[in-house]
Amino acid sequence: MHDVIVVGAGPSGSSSALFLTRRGLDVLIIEKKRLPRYKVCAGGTSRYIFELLDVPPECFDAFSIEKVKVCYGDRVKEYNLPSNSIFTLHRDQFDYRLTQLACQGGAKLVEGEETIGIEEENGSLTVKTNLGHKFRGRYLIGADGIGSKVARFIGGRFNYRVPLAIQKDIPYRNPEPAISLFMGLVSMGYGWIFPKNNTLSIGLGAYAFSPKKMPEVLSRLLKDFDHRDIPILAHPIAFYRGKKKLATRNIILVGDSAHITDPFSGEGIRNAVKSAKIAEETILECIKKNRPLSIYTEKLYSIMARELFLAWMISGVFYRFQDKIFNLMDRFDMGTILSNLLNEKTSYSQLLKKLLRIIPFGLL
Amino acid sequence: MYKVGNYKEQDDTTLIRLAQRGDEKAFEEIVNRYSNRIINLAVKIMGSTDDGWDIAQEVFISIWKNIRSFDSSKTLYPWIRKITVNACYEELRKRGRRVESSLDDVEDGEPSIDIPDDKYSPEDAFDKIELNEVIEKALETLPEHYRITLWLRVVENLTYEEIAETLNINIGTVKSRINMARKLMRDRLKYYLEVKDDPS
Repeated sequence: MHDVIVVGAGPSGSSSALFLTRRGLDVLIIEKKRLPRYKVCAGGTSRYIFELLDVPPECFDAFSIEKVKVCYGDRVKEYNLPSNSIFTLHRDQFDYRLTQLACQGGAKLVEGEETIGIEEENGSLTVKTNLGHKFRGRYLIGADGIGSKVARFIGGRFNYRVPLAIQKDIPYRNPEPAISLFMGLVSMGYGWIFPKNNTLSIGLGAYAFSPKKMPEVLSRLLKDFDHRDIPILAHPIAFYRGKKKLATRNIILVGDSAHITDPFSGEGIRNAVKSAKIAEETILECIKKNRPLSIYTEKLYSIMARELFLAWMISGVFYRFQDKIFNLMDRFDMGTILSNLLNEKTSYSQLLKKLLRIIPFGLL
Repeated sequence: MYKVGNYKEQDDTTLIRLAQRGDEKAFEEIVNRYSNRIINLAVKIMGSTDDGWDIAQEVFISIWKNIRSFDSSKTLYPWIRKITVNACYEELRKRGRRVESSLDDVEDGEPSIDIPDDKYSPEDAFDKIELNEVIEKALETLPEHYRITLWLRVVENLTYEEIAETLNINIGTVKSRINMARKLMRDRLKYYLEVKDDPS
C-alpha cells in the first residue's frame, strides 16, 4: 500500500509528489495522459514558485521576462520588471520535469491510465483505472483539474460559470523577453502575448463573455503573425468562488481541483504549488499526530481565502473600468506591482489600498 | 488624519467617518466585515453563486463611490443591504440581454477541456443532502420577487416595514408576497415533508 496516491500530474499533483517524496513517503502518481503532454497555459510563473519548489528556473528551461507592456487600443505603456522575477514556461516541459524530479526522489508513475473510481474500505483507499488496475493508498491527493473526479467523490460541489482562456502557440525564434497585456478587448478579462523559448503564446481570457466571440477578438492580436495552421485551444479557468469542502479524513484536493486560481491575474500555477505545499504539511502533521486530513480545508483557506476574495474584488474595479485604469497607470508602476504580486511581496490587501488611494471618489 | 490603532476594533460609525475621509484601511475593514453577508444575500437573491459574486463586486464599488454621502449617524448594514438588493434587481432586469458563457459553445478546445459535468449526480450522494439544502433548492425555484422578499424576512430577519423600505414597495405588497412565497414553498417541499413525516 502506498502512503499517498496522487491523481493527476499537473503542477499541483507533481509538486505534491515531489514535496512528499522528499519527506520520505511512498508516493504513486496516476496520470491519464502520457507525459510530456500539451496543456493550454500562458505559462506565467515567478521566482517565488521556483523557491517554493526549491528547484531553479533553469531546470524547467524557464524564459526570463524583462518587461511588461500594457496595451489599450494603439496606446502602449511599458514597464521594466525586476530581473529574474517573472518567467514563462511550457507547461508540458514544466509538468514533465516536476514529475521526473518526484520520480527521481522515489515516486512511482502510472501514466496513460485514467482514474475511474475510488473506493474506501477499512481506512485505506483503492483507486481503479480505466485499464482495470487497482492501487491502494492510505491517503489520496486529487490533482485532477477543474473537472476533478476526486472532488466529486468527496462531494465538493463546484457548479460555477467557468471563465475561459483560449490561446494559439506560434513557433517564434528568439522572441523579445517582454509580455504584452491587452486591455479593452473584453469587458471582464484581457488578452496576452507571452514569449517563451521559441514560442509566442497569444491568448485571451474572459469571464461572462460569449466563447463563440472569443476567437474573433483573439484574431486582433494574431493579425501580425502567421498562424493559419495552428488551432485555437481552450481551457476553462478554475476561479475561486467561496469556500468549499476540500478534504475528508484521508483525501485532499489541490490546484484546479480545489478551484483556487487567482481571479485577478488568472494565474493558476502559483496557487497550485502553494496548495501542494499546504497538502504536504497537512499530511505530515496528520501522520505524526494521527489526525484526519480534514483540517486541510481550513488550513488552506486561512492562508488563501482572504487574498482570493480581495483579488476578485480588485478584478471588479480593474476590469470593469479598464479605460480609466489604463489612464491612471502613469501613477503607478505596473511592472513592479505585477512582479510583487506574483512573487508574493505585495498582498491583494495592500494593492486594494493602493488602488483606493489612486482612484479618486466618484471616478468610477 | 485621525489615527487608528486597530481597525478591527473600531465600530462601524468610526469606520464610516474614516472611509469618508478617504481612509482606505477603514474601507478594507468594511469590506472584511460585510463581505460574507453581502455575498450570501446576493447569491440567494440571484439564485446562483456566480451572480452573487458578480454583484458583490458592484456593491463594494458602489459603497466606495457613495460612502461620502452616507449619513454616518445611521446604521451601516441596512444601507449596504439596500445597495445589494438594488444591484441584484438591476442585474435581473438586464438579464434578458446578458450573454452567459456556456462551455458547450467552445469549439476548438479538444485537447485540454476537462469540464465539470452538471449531470453528474451519484445516487449515493443524495443521502448527504441536508434539509436546509432541500429548502435552499426550493427557494431557488421561487419567482425572484417572492424569493427576495422571503429571504429578507426569514434569513435577514427584517420587519415588514424594513422590507418595504429596502425594496421600495408598500407593506401590503410585502405581506402578500410573503404569504404567497410561503404557500409556494410548502407546495415545493410537499414531497420531502411527506417523506420526512412517514414513520416507516
